Amino acid sequence: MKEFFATPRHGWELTGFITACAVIFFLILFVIHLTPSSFKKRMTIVLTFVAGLYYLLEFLIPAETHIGSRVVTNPLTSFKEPLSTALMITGSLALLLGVYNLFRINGRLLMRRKTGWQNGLAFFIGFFSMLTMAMLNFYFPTGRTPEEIAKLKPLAQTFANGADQWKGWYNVLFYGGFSALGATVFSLLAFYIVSAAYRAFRVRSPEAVMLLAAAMIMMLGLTPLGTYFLTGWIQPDSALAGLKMESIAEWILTILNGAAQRALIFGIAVGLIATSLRIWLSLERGQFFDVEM
Amino acid sequence: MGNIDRRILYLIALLVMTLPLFLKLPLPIADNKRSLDAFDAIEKVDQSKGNQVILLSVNFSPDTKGESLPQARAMVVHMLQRSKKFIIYTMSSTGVAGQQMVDDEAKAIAAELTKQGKPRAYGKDWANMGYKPASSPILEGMARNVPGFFTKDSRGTPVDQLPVMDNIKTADDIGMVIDVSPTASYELWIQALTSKFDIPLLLAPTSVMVPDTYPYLISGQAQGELRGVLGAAEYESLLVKNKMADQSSVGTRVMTSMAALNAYIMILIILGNVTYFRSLRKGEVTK
Amino acid sequence: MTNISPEQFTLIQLWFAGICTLAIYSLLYKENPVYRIFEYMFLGLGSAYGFSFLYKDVMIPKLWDPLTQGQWWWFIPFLFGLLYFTVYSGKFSWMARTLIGTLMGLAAGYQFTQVVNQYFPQIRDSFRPLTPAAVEAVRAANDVVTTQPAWQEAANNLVFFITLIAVMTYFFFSFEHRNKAVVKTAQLGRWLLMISFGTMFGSTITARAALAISRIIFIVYDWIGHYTGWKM
Repeated sequence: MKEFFATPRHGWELTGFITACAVIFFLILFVIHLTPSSFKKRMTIVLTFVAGLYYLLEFLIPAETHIGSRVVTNPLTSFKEPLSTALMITGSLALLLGVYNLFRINGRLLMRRKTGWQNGLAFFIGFFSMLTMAMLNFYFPTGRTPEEIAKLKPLAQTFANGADQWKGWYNVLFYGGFSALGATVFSLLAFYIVSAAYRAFRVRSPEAVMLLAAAMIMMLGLTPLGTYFLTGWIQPDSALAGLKMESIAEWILTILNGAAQRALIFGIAVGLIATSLRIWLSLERGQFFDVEM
Repeated sequence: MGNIDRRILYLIALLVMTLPLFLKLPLPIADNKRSLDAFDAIEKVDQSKGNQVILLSVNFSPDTKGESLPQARAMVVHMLQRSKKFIIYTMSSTGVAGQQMVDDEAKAIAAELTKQGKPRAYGKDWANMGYKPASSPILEGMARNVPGFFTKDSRGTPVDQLPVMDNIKTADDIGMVIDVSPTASYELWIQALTSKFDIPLLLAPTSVMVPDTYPYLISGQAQGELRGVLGAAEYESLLVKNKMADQSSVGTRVMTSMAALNAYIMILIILGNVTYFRSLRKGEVTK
Repeated sequence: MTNISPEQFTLIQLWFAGICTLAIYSLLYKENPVYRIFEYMFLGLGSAYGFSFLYKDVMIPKLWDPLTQGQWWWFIPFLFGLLYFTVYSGKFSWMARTLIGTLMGLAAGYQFTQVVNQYFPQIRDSFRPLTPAAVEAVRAANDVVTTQPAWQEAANNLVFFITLIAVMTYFFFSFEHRNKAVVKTAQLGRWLLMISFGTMFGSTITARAALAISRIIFIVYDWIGHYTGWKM
């Protein structure tokens, strides 16, 4: 039985197995679709529980157990690697969902000629130009010898001969477009901080004073503004070395901030365990069932 | 002084950031324990037995390349200079761009070193293993079978044809993980790999994430850190001191402009509060 | 097919990057259609870039290659992944929810096991010697050689411990803070937490400044510098 399912197939056998997979899969889905909502809900709860049980049991069961003279290994560990690959494949389709959603939104904007339809057009121009150049660059990379190109089909040869052009346009779109735009969008935040520093940061309470003081010490301690101009004169091996700005900043980061962040981590850890337990046992209110199934 | 137009504030900020670049006043960078620990950790990686590849996990996008790329570049210079084999990997789709930038930097550095008589080649000294979406459970799968996880590099070359991946089978053959990321991806490495298999972990977060990483540094779960672009500048200073790089570097020059901008922001905070308290006293504003 | 030389490509790339940078920075003056168009184009470029690498680095080596080599069983996770797309259909969205529920269960189960790897070392490190004598004893037991005086390490550990307890007390919401000692400790925790947030704020300013400066370096030295000869 194991050999039947675990043996690689080729040719028509492969097609047959893949088709059978798809047919059986959609048949099962069809049958479940016909069942009442309560059954679907219970099925989801059971699947959620069993899925969570896998990693928990794999962790709790010892890697090796000696029963008499026999050594029994943890049977769940061997599934870790294939499960990891399966999760990767399934996860990739989740990312595709994001792309599909963008297409829906911008496609609607463009087709219905709503206000700002030019933005939708810009999205599609950017998307298809980058996709084209990335695929051409992938399938026809630079560095192929004339002999390697001659072995390709005639149409492929035409594209292969233009490899330098595809690479060039790809770099224009990547470095000139995507990289520059991304870096610039994030750099806007520096200007917003400048505006907020003048207009919004008000010292209205003792807590705000403490926050501001710590922030200023960090700004002085992380840049030559403090480390060079303020306390650069103090020698590293002198008795006053602890008063150097970078030492004070490091002390605040290590002792005060380190302890506070650790307390936050503990709080988050407890919350994470509680939430994970609730999700695993499907106790979360409205978990997956906001809309009637 | 009451209500300065924000566009004037932006213009002054632009001038404050730009002028120090023309003045060419590279201010000295103070030594820092975290960068020193990171430097020593890479020096200590022992690849003499043919295994122990360094895994450089690059998860930044062009958004944060101003900080993350200098960090990655500094460590790549170190690893190529010392002939420490490494592989570049990204676990997020947004990190693919950063991975490509780091690979391009490695190519340029390798070409420079080859000209200097220290031949370095792709596939032999480093490889770009591409993008594989990962969470902690997926990385645990990698720990059991590293070549099976990667299968091919980003150029389509099978793993068994890459000399850099020779003798690399499981997590025991990973000498170190370096995480260059603006997010908390280091937690995934701690959960799945480094704590479990006792693999040294170096962090290279952006400055925003630095306070969040300290609990892991002080508990020993991470062995060193490059703190944002400051960390990159500190690391570059160490490379210069150890004759692995010359004086010119982006990280060090950025620090001078950053010092000016920080001073400007501090002045604005003080000015803003002085204006606010004056208005309070005049009764123009209620607390 | 185009026939552009590498030098011309460099120039096109430079100008395209410059125009993109100025288009985004135009937002600082005021909201305008040019900024919006380039913002949407950025979205398109980014999603296509991510999609192409998903295809190249995941779908081909992890799905297509093994399938063509006869490993038909990898088609099953692909079929499961297709269920994500049923989220848009009211009638069939239960399939997406079942898939998401299963994956959430998997993640939840995994989280329990991470307490050991991620949090136990944190708990262990929180127990520190609080007196100079205890510090000396711990150092001797672990063969630690350091120039830091024992009293200094003990003082640091004490401050660390007080901060940890105070902040944890502040976050303890399971019961009302009635006891005066608890109230004062929680208030101290709040103050110390402000210091931590201050360090985050200071670091954030540094981070954003670095990003802006790197763009200015591009404009001044890479773009304008290409014509004026300015060099870093």
